[in-house]
Parts: sequence; C-alpha cells; structure tokens
Amino acid sequence: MEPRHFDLQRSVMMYIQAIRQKGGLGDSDAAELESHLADAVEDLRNSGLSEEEAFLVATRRLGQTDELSLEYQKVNPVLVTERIWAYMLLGFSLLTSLQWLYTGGSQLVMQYAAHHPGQLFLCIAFNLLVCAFVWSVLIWGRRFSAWLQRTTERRPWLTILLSLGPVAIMFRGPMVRVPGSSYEILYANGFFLFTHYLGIVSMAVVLLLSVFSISFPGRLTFRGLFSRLTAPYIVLFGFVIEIVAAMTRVWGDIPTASVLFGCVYATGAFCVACYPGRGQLLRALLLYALSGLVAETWAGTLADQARGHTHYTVYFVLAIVVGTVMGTVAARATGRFREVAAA
Amino acid sequence: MYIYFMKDGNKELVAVSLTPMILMILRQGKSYGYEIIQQLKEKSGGKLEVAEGTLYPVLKKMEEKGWITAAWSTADNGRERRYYTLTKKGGENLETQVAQWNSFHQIIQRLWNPGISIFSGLL
Repeated sequence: MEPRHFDLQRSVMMYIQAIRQKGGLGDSDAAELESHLADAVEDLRNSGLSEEEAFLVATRRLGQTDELSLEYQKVNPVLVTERIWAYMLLGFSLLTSLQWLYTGGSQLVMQYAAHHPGQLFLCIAFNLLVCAFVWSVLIWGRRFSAWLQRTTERRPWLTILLSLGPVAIMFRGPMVRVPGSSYEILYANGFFLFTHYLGIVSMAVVLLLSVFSISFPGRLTFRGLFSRLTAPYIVLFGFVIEIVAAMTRVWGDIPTASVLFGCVYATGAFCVACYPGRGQLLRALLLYALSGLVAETWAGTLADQARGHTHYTVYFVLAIVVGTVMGTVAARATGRFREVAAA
Repeated sequence: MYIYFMKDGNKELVAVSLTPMILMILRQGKSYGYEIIQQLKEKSGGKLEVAEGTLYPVLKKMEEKGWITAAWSTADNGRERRYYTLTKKGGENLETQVAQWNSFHQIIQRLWNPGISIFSGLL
C-alpha cells in the first residue's frame, strides 16, 4: 500500500476549525493556538517523532476541542452573543428571502405567461421547480450551512449584505402586476393550486425537518428520517401529511379528491410503517393518523352540517383508514422483500 | 474546574494556584503560552499534567483583570507569538497572593503538627 501523505498545515487548520465551529474562539486565539502547535510539533520532531506523530501528540496535549471551546466561551462571551445575533439575522433574512423569492418569482412567471398559450404549464412547472429547490436544500443543506457558518465567522459583512439584500428588495413593494384574468384561470385549476400549496408546505416541512435533523450526523436518508420515530415526531409528521392531503381538496370533485387524499395518507403510512418493530407498529400508526382523524371527523362534520346535506366526511375518513392500511401493507411487504434480498 | 491537575492530586487546588504560578513565571520576564507551559512542567518536575490549550483562556482572564498585557511580535525564528508581560498591578497582586499562600501554609503546618501552638506565631 502506498504511504498516505500527511499535510501538517491542513491538519492544524482542521483542528482549530473544529474548535472555532463550536464557538468562543476569536481570530487572535486561533492564531495563538496555531503558533503553539507549531512550537510543540517542532519540539516533538526534534525528539525523533515523525510529523504526523508529533501533530497527534501535540493536539492530545493541547486538549479536546469540546473542552477547549467551552473554556474559550467563558472568556469570550461577546463572541458567542455576536454569533447568536448574526445567526438570528441570517435566519430572519433567509425566511423572508425564501418567501419573497417564491411570491416574487411566481408573479414574474405569471406575468410572462399571461399572454402565452402554455401559461398553465409554465406556472405549474415553476411551482414544481420551487418544490425541488426546497427539498434539495434538505439534501445539500449541510454544505450550504457550513458555507454560511464559515462566511459569518470570517466575513461578517458579507453575511450582513446577504441578509439585507432580500429585505431591501421586499421594501420596494410588489415588482410586477399580473392581469386579474390570468389569476382567475390559474386559481381555477386543481394542478396549479396543488403545486402552489405544495411549495409553501414544502418550505415549512423542510424547516421542521432541518430542526429535527440537528442530531443526525451526515446526509439525510430515508432510513435516517424514519428509523428512529419519537411520538412528537410521528404526530408532527401526521399533521404535515394531513395538510398535504387536505390540499387535494382543490379538485372540486369529491370522489377524485378523496382518492388522492387516500394516496397521500398511504405514502405517509409507508414511511411510518417501514422500520418500527411489530409491537410498536400499531402505536406509531395511531399517532400518525391522529391529527387527520380528529381534523376530518370534527371539522369535516361541522362543514357538512354547514353545507346542509353533504356527507363528504365519510369519504375522507374512509380515505385515511384505507390509505393508512394500504401504505402499511406495502411497507411491510417491501420490508419482507428487503429482508429476503439482504439474506 | 477542568484545567490542570496534579497526578493523583486535587484539581481545584491546582486550578486556584495556577494564577500565581503564571504570574511568578512572568515576573522573570515576558513569555509566550508554549514557553509558560514548558516552565510549569519543568518546575513541577513532571507532576503537573497539563491540558495545554486551556492555559490560554486563563491568560485571557488575567489580561482582562489587568494583571498582564499581551502583544504579538515576531520571534527570532520568524514565528509570530503572543508575548505576555507582567503589569505593575499584576506584580502587586502576586505579592498579596504569595503573602496569603504563606499564611495558609503556616496555618496548615501548625494544624498538622499540633505540638506547636497555633497562637505561638502571634505571641
């Protein structure tokens, strides 16, 4: 095997960066630790160690990154507070800019498409593109947040500019005017409305998932998301599924809407039912369908009464039950298939 | 407090005595972190086990209190180092601390050897 080349400069930078990321370390502190490591490595090399061995001993003597960061945070509280403010500003501006990009962007597309034969298609494609972008944030988000963190700590002015940009544009007011008739055509279409709502819900879901995924190391995977289900997580997931399922009502035709409604519930149930053991499965499914069953029976019945003699609730409650059962059966069947394939 | 500990010794006691020890080293002339640690190790005859990196936050605290000042300068080998110097206030504080340590030491000695009266020093 070819010997691995050891890059001292890079290893020193990575060690210091690890402390810096945990907070509390200023530029001068980082330079001081770097200088310390250089002295220590030089001394250890003079006593006969290789560069890599010297680095390992020197960092071991310097201390663990967690403990060093904690000690530095005690003496640099201002640095920690500044970080909190910088991230709060960043979070606010990211949320506003996402919302602005969505509404501003869709208005631009609508205006462009207003006199275009493929108006509907263009607008739906834009909505789907937004959804894809939002979900890609979840997949590539860690790289993006690592970049944001580096930028905030090394070039705070860039973060400030980035943060203020969307806010400044927001204050300019609406950019384009879309003809009223164009709106009417779009909002009468089920596909457009569904994809439109899907974009908004996706943003909320991605935000929630990024909070829940804080303790997950590495990239998010299907297994990572659904193999360790806690009760609040299932209930929240059920709530999100209920919202997405409720969006299928944009199709005025109730039988079609309830079939789609059931499909959404089946997809959700598939996710929930994939990993729990036999004893946990029923509890997980009940928690999952809880928000939907409560919302549909309570609010649905009230709406039915208000409308007069409709019985839409029956369709939707049935869709929840059938969808959940079908999704579960599919998950368990493919689970057995996976076991056989693995064996 | 996690900072320094003596082998099989009392962590807190060593943490408390660390400040006067650093001040004493700086009393001999300006120095930088790595050198201070080497001196501490040498003078303790290897009895001090050191998590070296945590010395720097202690130095920062002492700097805030005005006991020492710090300045970057280039060493003979071309390396940038942060040199610490004892201030007048730090020197005075060291004298007070040493006096306190000596008093404690005397009290402990007398208590440890009860044959000698605790009041003998006062008479």
